[in-house]
Amino acid sequence: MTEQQPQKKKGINTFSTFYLIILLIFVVSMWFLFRAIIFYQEGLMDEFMTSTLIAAMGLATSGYMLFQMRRRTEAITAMVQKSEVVSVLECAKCGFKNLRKFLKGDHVFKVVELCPRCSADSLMITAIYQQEDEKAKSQA
Amino acid sequence: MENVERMSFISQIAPTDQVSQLINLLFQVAYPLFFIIFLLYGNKLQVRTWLWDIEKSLNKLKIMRDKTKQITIDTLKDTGKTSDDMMARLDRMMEFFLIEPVSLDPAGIVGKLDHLITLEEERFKEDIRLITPSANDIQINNYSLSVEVAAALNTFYRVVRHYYVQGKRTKSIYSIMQLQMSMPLIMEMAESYSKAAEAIAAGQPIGDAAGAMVAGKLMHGMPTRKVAKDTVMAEVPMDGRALLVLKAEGPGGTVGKPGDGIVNLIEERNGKIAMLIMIDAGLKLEGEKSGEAFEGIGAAIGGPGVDKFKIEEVLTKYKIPVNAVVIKESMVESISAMKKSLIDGVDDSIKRVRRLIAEKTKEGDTIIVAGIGNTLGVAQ
Repeated sequence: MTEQQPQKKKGINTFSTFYLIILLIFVVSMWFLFRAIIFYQEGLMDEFMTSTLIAAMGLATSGYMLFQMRRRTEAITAMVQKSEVVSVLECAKCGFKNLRKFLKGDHVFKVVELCPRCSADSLMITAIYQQEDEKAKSQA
Repeated sequence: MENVERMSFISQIAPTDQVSQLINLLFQVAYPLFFIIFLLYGNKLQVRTWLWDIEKSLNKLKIMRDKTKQITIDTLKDTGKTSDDMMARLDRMMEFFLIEPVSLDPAGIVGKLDHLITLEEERFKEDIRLITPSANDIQINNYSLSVEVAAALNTFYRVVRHYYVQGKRTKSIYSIMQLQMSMPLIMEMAESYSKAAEAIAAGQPIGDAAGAMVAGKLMHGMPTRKVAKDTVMAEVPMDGRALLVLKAEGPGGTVGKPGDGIVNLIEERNGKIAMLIMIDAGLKLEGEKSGEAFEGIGAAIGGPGVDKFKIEEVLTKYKIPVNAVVIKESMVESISAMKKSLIDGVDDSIKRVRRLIAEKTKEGDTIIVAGIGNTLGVAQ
């Protein structure tokens, strides 16, 4: 447990550093773009072309890096977010069905409690499953 | 006038001549330098990039292994009193290995493999019993499975580290390239094992339990008896036929001995079995939907092949037809907590089993229905 905490801190620092680099590249690119406008106004076409090329490369790089960072952040969020596992409780007599969070000790065909609707029979766990994320489901 | 003033202000904050000359000079130097570097060091740079990739994955594998081990330790401690040498024992179990029998003379190799696998299972359970003396049989099965998962992740880590260090030492571009290209699949498998650890520790049914769940639903409420080690059966009447439904004994995490169970049931009735239906979880191909059930012919059972061999032998001996129903799922799904789509697949498989029985057998027949797979979290 103690080993995992520094890892988390390192992760945050790495992310901040990357965002800082992206911002730096973006600012430099904008500066070159600004210079390209000046060169164009002054009629210096060679300098204009060089500055425009550098600005375009910088903007593309920062855009790509930002896109990659977003993807990585989403992937980490998806890893951290655990999908909930539920137990399906059913009454064989009246057909009452209820879903509740999985509790340790639950297993399929375990009789858990008296049916709250008919009170004639006990509720039995008929299934235990992990609730699927709609996004992941559509990808499957 | 105003325009001229603005231009001169802009020129002051961004002087043009010197900067553009400097940039041009930089480009003139960088351009040939770029080619020279890539010509001389292109391969080395590529190898360095691959090594970075492998190193990142290796670190992830280490985190997964340690996390899984921690989950196993926490689960073992949950039982109550654990032995003082728990950590040492656990470390030994994580490095445990099985030497496969020699295959130079393949005759009788299945028997030898069966013997070794049984020994390995018993050894694991004995060691778990020594760590947690108060655990019951269900817990022993679950803990044994947890340790197996932790051991599998430890093997992944050790093997990848071996090839990484070897590649780095020998600077062999081809071995590093091979490892880097295999890493996505290795990581996918490792992640599925890592996810499995949590489900197993909690005693939740995993995707592999789909076959056992089909059998469980068919036999539920009927008296059961043991037919082989960790394997139970129940006689279920259905439309004038007698179904002998068989599965691993739940809700502990075990696959039982379905091969021995089926052989014993057939031999008990001197081969008078109209049909064997086997239901198991099967690996889907990319793009296929999880939870879809498919039908076919043959012994639907995975593993090292010992059970499959026994089943095929007895079926051939008595000329018993065998039908297979397979519930499709991915590798990750097969060892992580069961998904809703697989539960739907279980219900679909039951319908298919009923239809197969109605179409392929007649009243008075005896049919064996075997639900194959790990029965973790599924009773009967």
